[in-house]
Amino acid sequence: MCTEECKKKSAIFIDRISNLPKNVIEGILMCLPTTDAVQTSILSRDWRYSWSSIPQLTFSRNDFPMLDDTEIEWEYNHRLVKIIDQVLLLHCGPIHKFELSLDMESCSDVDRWILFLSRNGIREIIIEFWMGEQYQLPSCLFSCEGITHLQLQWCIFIPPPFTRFPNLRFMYLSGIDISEDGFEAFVTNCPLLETLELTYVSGCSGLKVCSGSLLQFLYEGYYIHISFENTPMLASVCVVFSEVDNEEGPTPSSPNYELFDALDNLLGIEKLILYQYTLEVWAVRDVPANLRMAYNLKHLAVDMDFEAEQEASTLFLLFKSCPFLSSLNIWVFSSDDDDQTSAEDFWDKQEGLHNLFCHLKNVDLIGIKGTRSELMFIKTVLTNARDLRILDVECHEDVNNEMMMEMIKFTRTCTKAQIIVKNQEEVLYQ
Amino acid sequence: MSESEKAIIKPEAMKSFIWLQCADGSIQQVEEEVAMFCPIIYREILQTGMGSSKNYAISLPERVNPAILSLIFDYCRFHQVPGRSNKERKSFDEKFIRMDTKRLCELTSAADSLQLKPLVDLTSRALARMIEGKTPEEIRETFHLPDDLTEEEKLEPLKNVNDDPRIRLLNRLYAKKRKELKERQKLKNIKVEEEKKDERSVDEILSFINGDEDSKGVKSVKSKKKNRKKKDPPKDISRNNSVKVHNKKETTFSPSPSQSSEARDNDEDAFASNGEFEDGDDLDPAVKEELDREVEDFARRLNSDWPERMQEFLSLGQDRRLVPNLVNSNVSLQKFTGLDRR
Repeated sequence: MCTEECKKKSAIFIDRISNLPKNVIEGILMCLPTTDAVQTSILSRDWRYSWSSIPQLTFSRNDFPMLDDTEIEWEYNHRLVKIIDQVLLLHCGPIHKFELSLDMESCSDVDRWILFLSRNGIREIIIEFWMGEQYQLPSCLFSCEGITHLQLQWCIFIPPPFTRFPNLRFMYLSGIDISEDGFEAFVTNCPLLETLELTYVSGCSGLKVCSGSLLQFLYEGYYIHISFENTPMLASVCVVFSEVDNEEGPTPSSPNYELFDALDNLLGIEKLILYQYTLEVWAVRDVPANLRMAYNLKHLAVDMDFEAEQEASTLFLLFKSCPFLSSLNIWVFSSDDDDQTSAEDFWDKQEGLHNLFCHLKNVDLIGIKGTRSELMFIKTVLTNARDLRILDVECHEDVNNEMMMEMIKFTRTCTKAQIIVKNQEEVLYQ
Repeated sequence: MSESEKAIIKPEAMKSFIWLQCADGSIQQVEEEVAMFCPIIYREILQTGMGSSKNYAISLPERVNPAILSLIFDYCRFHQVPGRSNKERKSFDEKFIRMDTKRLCELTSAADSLQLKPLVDLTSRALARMIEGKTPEEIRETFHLPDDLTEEEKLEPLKNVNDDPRIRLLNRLYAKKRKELKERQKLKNIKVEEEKKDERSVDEILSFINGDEDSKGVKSVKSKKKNRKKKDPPKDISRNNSVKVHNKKETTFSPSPSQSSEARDNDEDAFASNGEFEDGDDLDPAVKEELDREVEDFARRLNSDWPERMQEFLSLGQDRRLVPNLVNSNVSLQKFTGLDRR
């Protein structure tokens, strides 16, 4: 581009974007990934300082090149540390959100950054490690009183006693090593905690959740004893036991455990999700006659094995106890356990169903194979659900088509109901 | 059909209009519910009751011009209807935002001055999409940004508005480096002479030292000045000059204090303007010559293989590895000039 052209261009075209007010420019820079935002510093004189006051910094694997085979791990680590050091040093002003989710080994540099953040008004902190040893969190993190959002992966989280985060609302821990008592005390000490999600945590054999403000709880991982105490606001609970034969931890048949009782404390619960082995675990015990907790239940999602009678009876108990159930999702989940008593005629044989499924509106069944027990269940639903709007059935690839066709002949109490049957995106019946 | 015509045709329609005046004086009217979607207008109506007639039009902030105002009202008109689904709103937004960067920037500015946050967010995201993933040249092209940072500045760190002491220290170090860069520019001028100095012999130097006096040395400086201006002086003359330079050096430039004072005595004019040394941009040619010599001299002092060093300095350009060397030389130079200004 020759200079005359340049001069002409600058005469006709005005730079409008650099004159926008500071808050607008900050808004624009915050929509960009941090790497692009920092690069705007060499655009022109006006843009040199703009990025350094944005209150969020994100270093994630999406924006940085991945570690490949040609580079030595140590060198790659070193480069990342240098970049982050420079950005933090050149930044000026409070940092409200910080994300660190890179392919790097945990190291003392991270301690230094957390200390820096603790002095700069950090509110949302996301630290995720994907390799190496678990990262021991520095003590300065536990004195950040402004934290509202905490997300950690592959760390060791053992807060000193009497630690509290007075503003913490969301906590997501994944692959974390915790200590049972310390963690329970910590949760109780966070007065505003709304969401707690624990995925594959280690270091505890049981968990008692006691929080007056908790709204949502999720647990995924090995089987442990979970109990709830004094959680009046808790509305959504999701428990996913992905492994049951954990040699070190407790097993469902251990004497002191009563999941029924544990869940029975949740009087306000509206949404219950039990995936993978959870229902099976629950079903091991003798089923009580009634469940108080289910009274307000509106949404239920389970992984269920229709052939297992124990699971079917547990579920039936649940249905009987929740008159206001409005949406139901069942994923067919077959365990390899062959000594389950057959549940083929279970649903057919049940009596006293007149109040079942009164308010049920949406039913989603996924992975249906067309076995007799499944069909019996569908028949039960169709016969009893007076308010049913949609019954969405997604079939497994080995589905028995003739059996499915039988289903269509079932009488429906609610004529407005819409039945959709799909097999691999192909709609068989509507 | 304009709004006023509509009002005439349907007088029984209970729709009320709000009158708005732009910074350029033009007055528009728009349906009340559309105007109320803007927080600023909403507040103005409630607090002052203005806008009900043409004479009492609400004056809008400066950054809003009539064309952009009608765009904004299109946006408000769509979104103020409560019954629309999120999907509808999203697809409207996507179509709405398709415009050239000039209008997009104007729209952002106007929406911000009217405090219409959803529209500011929408336009900001659109502008961010235009910046994301592009090279600096492409971004400058898109937004017509001036490329007004020099190479030096692209090396510099950012100035900290709050004056962080760490950044101040960094800035000081970089100020030194800037100075050194300027020095290098001057050193480039004597590069040509340097290459020819290799041929001199020690005997020649000694003979000249023994022969000449100070006053002659001064004159030789002045005459040397003339010769120096030629880009490629013939070998013998240059040798003469360089020898005379050495002569001058031997007699006048012994360890710092004495020589600088002598130099001052000899050449008042040159050193009088030495204060300009630090700023550098418009140096008196005499001063420049003086400086060149001084630099050359103490560099020799530092390092006997001066010519090779010179080559290295110049060929490596802005290589940071040279900073330690230059820092040393700079410090010594300051010693010279600092004393001179006394």
